[in-house]
Amino acid sequence: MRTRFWHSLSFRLALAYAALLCISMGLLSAAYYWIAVARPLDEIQTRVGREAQVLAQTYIVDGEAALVAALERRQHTPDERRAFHAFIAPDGRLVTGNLPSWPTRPAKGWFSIEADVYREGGEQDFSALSYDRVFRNGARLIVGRDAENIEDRDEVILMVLPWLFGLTLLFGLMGGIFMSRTIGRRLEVISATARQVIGGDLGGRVAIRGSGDDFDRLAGTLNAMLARNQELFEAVRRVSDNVAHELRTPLARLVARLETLEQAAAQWPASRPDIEAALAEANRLQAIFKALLRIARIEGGRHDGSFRKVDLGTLTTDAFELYGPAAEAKGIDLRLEAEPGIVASVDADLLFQAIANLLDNALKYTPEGGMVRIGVRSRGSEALVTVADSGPGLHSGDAHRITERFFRGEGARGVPGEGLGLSLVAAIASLHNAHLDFHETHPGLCVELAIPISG
Amino acid sequence: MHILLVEDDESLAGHVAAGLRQAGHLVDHRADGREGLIQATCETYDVIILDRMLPGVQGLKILSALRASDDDTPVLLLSALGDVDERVRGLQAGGDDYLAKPFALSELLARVEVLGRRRGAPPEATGELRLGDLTIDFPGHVVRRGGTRIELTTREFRILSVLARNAGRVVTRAMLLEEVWDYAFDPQTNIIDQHISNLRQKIDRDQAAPLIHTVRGAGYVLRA
Repeated sequence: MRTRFWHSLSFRLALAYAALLCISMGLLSAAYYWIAVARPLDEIQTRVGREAQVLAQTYIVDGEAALVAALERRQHTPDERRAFHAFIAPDGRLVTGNLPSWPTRPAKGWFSIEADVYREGGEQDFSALSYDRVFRNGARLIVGRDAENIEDRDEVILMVLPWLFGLTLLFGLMGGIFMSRTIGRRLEVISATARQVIGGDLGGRVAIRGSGDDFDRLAGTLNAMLARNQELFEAVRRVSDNVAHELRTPLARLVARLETLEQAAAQWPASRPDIEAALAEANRLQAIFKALLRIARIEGGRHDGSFRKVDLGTLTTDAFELYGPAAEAKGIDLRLEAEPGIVASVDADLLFQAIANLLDNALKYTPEGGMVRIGVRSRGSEALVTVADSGPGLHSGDAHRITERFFRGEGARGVPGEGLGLSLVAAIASLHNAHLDFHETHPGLCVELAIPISG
Repeated sequence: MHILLVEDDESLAGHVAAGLRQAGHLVDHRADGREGLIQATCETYDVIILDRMLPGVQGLKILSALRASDDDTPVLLLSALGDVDERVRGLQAGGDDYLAKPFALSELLARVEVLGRRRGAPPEATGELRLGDLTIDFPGHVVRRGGTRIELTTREFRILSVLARNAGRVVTRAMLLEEVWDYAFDPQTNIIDQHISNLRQKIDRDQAAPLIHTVRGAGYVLRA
């Protein structure tokens, strides 16, 4: 169950769902980052860059005093982004500046620096996005503007992002699993019905929730298909039953005429073998029809069997004694291995018929000097009736067809029979809710009839 | 024997009646259930052969009516419903034997013979039975032939008992299976033949006059 889950469509769907959720989360975060952080920073940078350019020209063209005046003006012009600067003379002396500190070595380019301001006993946090420039004469100009709120935002985003992704993944997986579980459960209902039908219950139908969703529609379609299949199957069965039934009366008359002829044949002894052969064929036909109808009755549930508690040991012993002389005559070692005291609620006549058919087959296919074992033992809540032989076993590929009506395996050539014996056994097994199994035992075949023992 | 045949299939009835007459029986035939019931109560029969599916009154109803009026004439039920539960229901309703259609005439004749005789002498063979130089002591399960004791298995003894109780009459394979094994089922092969063969080995071996005879197409008969 566990390994099946990892391979299941449910799991893969859940994973794909979580992955998609993470990708969309990633895209959303990137867009937000660009709008809230990258673009504003870029704007400030462009502005500060331009200012630095203008101030540098002022210094080069108009000299130090003009630059200092320009810097003062800039500092006192009100702006939502507070201006910062520092101008350091070639000899390292600070000419003017409102930056609390700066890198000792020129950074030559962009950097961000803490520029907290103390005013009236309070501290105001600023962060200056600054441009550092060194002039040819060694003078150094740092120009910046506050970007504290944007940098804060950046920091917060970077801190929150892993959590965000983690939780998205978690919820995605949970949601995916929940979704696919829900789908899986409904698929399982359909699977279970399919298994039920495969198991022989043609009346099995998928439960419909009544919500009218896709699954309900699928269930409706499947049910219509199953109903149609059942209809066709039953029509075929009905036709074969009817054929057998309708042919029976004329056949009975045919046999009657042949019997009359046989009695009259005393006067023409030459015709006697032909009449006898015809009678034998007619009787064989009758036996086939009888067997067919019997199977149909049992399969169709028209057999209101007389179930009662039966000692299976006694039943198998009776069968063993019935077939003992026939086995002996063929030089087959017939053995009985019956556990005492196994009682099950069965139709004794039918179960005896099933065991007799199995023994009959075993004796037919086991060569002289072989061995046939009939046994009954308990296994859990089942009574296990087995008939094992040392014959040639089944031809590969015959196993699933062996209980079909009129099916005769490769090995059945030259062995008398109509291919109805095991069909009857299968019908009887199904009437008893018993499980019929064929095991190759190399050499030989073991037929297992597992009958449930109810309390 | 005087036999009443109640069967609506004219062709089958004619065939059965002809066969019974040929075997030396007196046969009255009725095709309708109601007429059959009237006939059965008007006259005394040795055996009544009753179809289960009849126009007028159903076979089982006739049977119940007969049994309700303390008529214990042996009844052989015929039915196209050749299944086991039908047989059980027929016998529970008071039928003495049950034969599924289609059947061989020989099977019907053998069963009628046995039923007719059952009325004269109770089938419970108590005490001892002698047939030629064969003696069977039923309570003691002892069989002797010409004074020599013969060891038989339980099944062999039961087969011999059925044959002996119907000595002189044909017992079919199906009848032997029903009597000795008490399961209503169809063997695919003549499985009973091997049992008879074993029994013969013990009873008739090295004997000038065999007692167990095979009747072709019918069954077996024990006859001195």
